[in-house]
Amino acid sequence: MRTPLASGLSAAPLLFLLAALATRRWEFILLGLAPLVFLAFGSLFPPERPRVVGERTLSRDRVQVGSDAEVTLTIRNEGPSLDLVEVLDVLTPELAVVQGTNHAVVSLPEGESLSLTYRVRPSLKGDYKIGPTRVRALDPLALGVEDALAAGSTRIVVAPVMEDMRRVQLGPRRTRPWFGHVTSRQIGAGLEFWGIREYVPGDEVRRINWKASARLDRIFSNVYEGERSGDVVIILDARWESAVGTPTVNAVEYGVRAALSVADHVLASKNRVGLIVQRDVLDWVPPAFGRKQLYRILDHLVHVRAGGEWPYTFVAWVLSRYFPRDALVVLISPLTDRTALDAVTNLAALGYDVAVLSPSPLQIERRFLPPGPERDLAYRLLAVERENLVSQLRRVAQVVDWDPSTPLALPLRRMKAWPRPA
Amino acid sequence: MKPAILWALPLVVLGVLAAWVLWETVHLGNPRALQGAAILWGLAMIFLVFGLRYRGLTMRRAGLVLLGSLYFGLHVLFLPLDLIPALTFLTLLLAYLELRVLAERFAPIYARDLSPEARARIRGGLARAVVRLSLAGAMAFLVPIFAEDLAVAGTVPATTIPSALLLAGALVAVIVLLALLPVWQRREE
Repeated sequence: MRTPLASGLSAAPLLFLLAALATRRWEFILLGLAPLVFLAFGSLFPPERPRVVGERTLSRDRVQVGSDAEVTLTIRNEGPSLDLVEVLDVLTPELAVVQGTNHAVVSLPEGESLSLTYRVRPSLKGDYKIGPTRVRALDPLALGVEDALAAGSTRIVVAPVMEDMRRVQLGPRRTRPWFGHVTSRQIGAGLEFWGIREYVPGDEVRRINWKASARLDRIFSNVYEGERSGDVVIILDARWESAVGTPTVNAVEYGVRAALSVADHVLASKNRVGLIVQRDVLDWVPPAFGRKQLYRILDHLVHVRAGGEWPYTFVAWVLSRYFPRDALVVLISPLTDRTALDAVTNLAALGYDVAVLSPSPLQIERRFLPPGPERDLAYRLLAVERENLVSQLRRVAQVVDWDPSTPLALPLRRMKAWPRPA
Repeated sequence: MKPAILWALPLVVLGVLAAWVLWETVHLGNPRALQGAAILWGLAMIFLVFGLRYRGLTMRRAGLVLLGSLYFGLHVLFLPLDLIPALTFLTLLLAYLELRVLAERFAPIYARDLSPEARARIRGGLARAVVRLSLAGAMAFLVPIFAEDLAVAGTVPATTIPSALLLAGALVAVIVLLALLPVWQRREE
């Protein structure tokens, strides 16, 4: 393939020729020889079409935002010697090269290999592809190029950062008849003492209350509050208007991070978790237990990008149609409009236990604005408006107003139990 | 080699070219010609500076074409055209284009954190390109001078109409050949 420079150099002698004829000066003819010599020199050693084979290996195919993955690319020349060859392993802008290089211009003799090792650090969660590897044989005088592909693409899944939620008490208030970690206020297998009752055959010996038995001259057994599990449905608001901030730092991204952390924490407590995402499409994951469910939720969250304008009425319809009625509904939304207030009020009226976790869009925007009296005044006004909305929401639901610059566990730990006990 | 040096080299050459044209402009005897040439020179500089600052390829090209046209225009209209200075100017212009391409290819790579092996291989590639460019530049400068010597010595009668036609025909043939060569190669493949 000829480059624009080669075309320009081809045109230059013709222009000099015309100039020579127009001005009747033979010097112009001689001047036309200079670009011709360049062209002739370039065509003596034209770039060969590269015949190369590439192989790419990744240290990890699943990484977290901010952590590194090492990529090793090996290119082997199976064709003629290449004087100058440009190798580029194509990366998406979200994958930043922090060490080494994915781009090189080298000489590659026949049969020789080139190995490029580099580390990428993703700045945003997502399902990305590394590659393909583009190889371009160059003419040292930049007069021609020949392109080829050396290696295909490799998939890398970038998960959002998980918040540390170890000391957070978060779980459903209403339970279902499965063993779990939530105290159910019903007699059953558990650790919380509930009372004593007369011994019946089959009671475990270690449950006999010897003091009570000695005092009352009959055998009594301890009974405990049964620990059950419940259902939690996470509703993630990823509509256009919720994406306050930059493409990498915005309320939707923080919402995704919070949703994954809450799901992990609730699943670890042996509860079922489901997910509804408001984005371009309204998609959901039905409630289920265990590690597999966490990966299912993670796969959904990885693809979440702000978009769409699905109203809450559709979410409420999906919730009533596909999710259990006695589930705890955790709405994760920056609360950028008042429709959330109506939605939460309606859900509470329908009998759902609702909790709202709101990554504060004010705190996100505040970070990106230069300090000054105007910013502070605007912030105060908007903060009053937001406090008003939050206080209205608190009448029907538990609300956590989260400043995303602080760990999520911080506002959650301030509460004894979340949501509030009955 | 540091990326800064790679980026600076074409800029130095461009600076020399601009200064050269300015020098010739300010030494024009005709005040109206001086005024017009100065305006054109300023325009070329604006195009070049904006093109370099904002990576505008079209503006950069327009600036270069304007600068080159101004130099040769001045020599056609107001100044004598000597072969060696004109050839030096043209070779410097071509060298600028080639150095710019080299800088665009190699400087971003050198700016990265490279292993010693990768750095050595890239240095080898750069050295090969520089040698090829130096040879081409030297040939581009020397071949027209030899041609002039041959013409002046009378070996080739350059001032007759048949030889002018022959030379023009040869030029056109070579250009057509160079233009068609990639197409023929592709057909062969």
